[in-house]
Amino acid sequence: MSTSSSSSKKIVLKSADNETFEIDEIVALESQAIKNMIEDECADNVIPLGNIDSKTLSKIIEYCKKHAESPKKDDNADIDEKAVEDLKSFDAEFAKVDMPLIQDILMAANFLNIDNLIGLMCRTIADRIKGKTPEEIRKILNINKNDLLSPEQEAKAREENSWAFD
Amino acid sequence: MRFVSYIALGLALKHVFTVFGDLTEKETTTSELPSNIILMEILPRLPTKLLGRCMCVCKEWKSFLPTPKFAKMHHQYVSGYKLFQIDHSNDSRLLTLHTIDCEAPNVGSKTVRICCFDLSRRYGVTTVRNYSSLPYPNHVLDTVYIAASFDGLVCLAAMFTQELGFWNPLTGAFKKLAANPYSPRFYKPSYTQCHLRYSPDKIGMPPSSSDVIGFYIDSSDDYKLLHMVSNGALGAYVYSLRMDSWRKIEYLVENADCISNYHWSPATFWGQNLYFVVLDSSGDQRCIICFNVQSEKFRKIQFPPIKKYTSSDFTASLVVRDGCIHLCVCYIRSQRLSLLEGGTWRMHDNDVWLKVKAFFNVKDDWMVRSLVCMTRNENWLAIGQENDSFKKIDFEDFATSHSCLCNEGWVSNFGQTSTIYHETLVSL
Repeated sequence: MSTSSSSSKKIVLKSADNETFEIDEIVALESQAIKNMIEDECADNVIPLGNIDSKTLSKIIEYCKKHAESPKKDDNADIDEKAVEDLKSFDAEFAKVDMPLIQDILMAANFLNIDNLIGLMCRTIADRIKGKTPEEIRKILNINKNDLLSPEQEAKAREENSWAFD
Repeated sequence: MRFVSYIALGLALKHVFTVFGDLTEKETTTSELPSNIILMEILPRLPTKLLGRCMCVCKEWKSFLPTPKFAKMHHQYVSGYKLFQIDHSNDSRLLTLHTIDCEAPNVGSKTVRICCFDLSRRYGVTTVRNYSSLPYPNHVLDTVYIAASFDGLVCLAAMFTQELGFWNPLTGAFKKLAANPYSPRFYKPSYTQCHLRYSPDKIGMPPSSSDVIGFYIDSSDDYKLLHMVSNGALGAYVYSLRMDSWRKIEYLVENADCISNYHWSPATFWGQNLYFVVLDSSGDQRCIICFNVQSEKFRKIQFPPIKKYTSSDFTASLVVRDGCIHLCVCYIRSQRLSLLEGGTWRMHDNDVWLKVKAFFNVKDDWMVRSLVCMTRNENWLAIGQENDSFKKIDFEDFATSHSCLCNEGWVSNFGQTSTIYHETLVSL
């Protein structure tokens, strides 16, 4: 059982700012993109991640480690509730970071194809725009200025959706 | 003391800044997020009310949010359901809408009544919370029933004018459907739209001769209706919202009297199929009719073997759970002892049923109440007799919960005048 972690294969990732991270293969497998590379035997050398900085990458590894260690749902039908709760509170803590970092993690998770992490980050962003006005939402998400409604169109949209503003 | 007041002042100032929406860099993204992530991953996770505000954010969102494609994505995260009811029994014609939160950990037996408003002009109140009133004049309104509901849209049938219409109760969007040229007698409200339940007082009533309606979306995101006509131009027709037109389709259910002499349950849409539970009025003959929306072919599926029982008091519902169609059956085993029996079967490939749950000899009081099942979020809901109460019951604890439901006086008139739906921004 536990022999796997000590003798397991290591994967080396290199961030944009040239920092290297050595991680267990099992942790790397959380990323569908890296998993594919491993399956295609393209992961023997260092994997360069030119668009992910070391701060973001270390957060991502922290996440993958925790999730790789936790019992998977499909492994066992009745995994103990505590493990589920534990993972939930880890996720909640993990997401308590500033928006720019959330954005970086989301983009990196999207690149590395880590489904759960994409979901967690999107849920976090969704939570942060709850209760906000359209102006605030535009600001928070940096909506393209060229795509805005004209003042008349916006007034009309507000009128049509007035139920959403009380 | 002074220190404390500084903190208080600091908090107050912070509050002021928040109020003015002074978002700091830490609260905003540094650049634009890819549009597919926003549209596919972030927006579907928002509550419907916020989506109404999102309609004002930018052009791309405004055009994407009212599409069926978005409604489908939003569907998987929705937690609040509404109960929509037309009350014909009351002179003041109350239209009531209730919220039902299926995710709430302690769902009580009482709904939150979010609004209760009078449609009748003589009372001068037409909308509450800007819910649009039904788009019918009063003399027509008296004859309006709910034919089906799907994706936050309600299909209304106005008997007086013999019209069908799609209505979005949230946005008020309404579309009157083109008349079916093949069927002179358009539509008849039916007992079949009731949830299946044959209580003792209904025995002896002639079989209802009534139409059957199924509401679904096809693979090209076109909303469609399957309409099986019981009288006159007996046959099956498909309506396409995109074309606003009807088409006659081949009607392959073996017995033509399947429609007129049997009770059909509301449709359950899953995968590419509409499923109906079909029972004769005594409950002795039963099957499931499956309509494949792609091939537009009908198929008959046998019920799982159920022991012979004497009473006709029989409930059967189809729900989707874990990606499979489940059939839930409940019937009275002994009227004298008020004992219920039933179970749940999962349908596998080749229409094979696997029993997943059974219960025997569950005590019931004389007036058995019917269940209304909800498929989403794996929860079951039942609507109370007064339509102002509901209950969530655990799928696994069907037997025990059912008995506790029965004690609270549940009865269903679901389908005719009320429906559960989740709100969407779908435009028509």
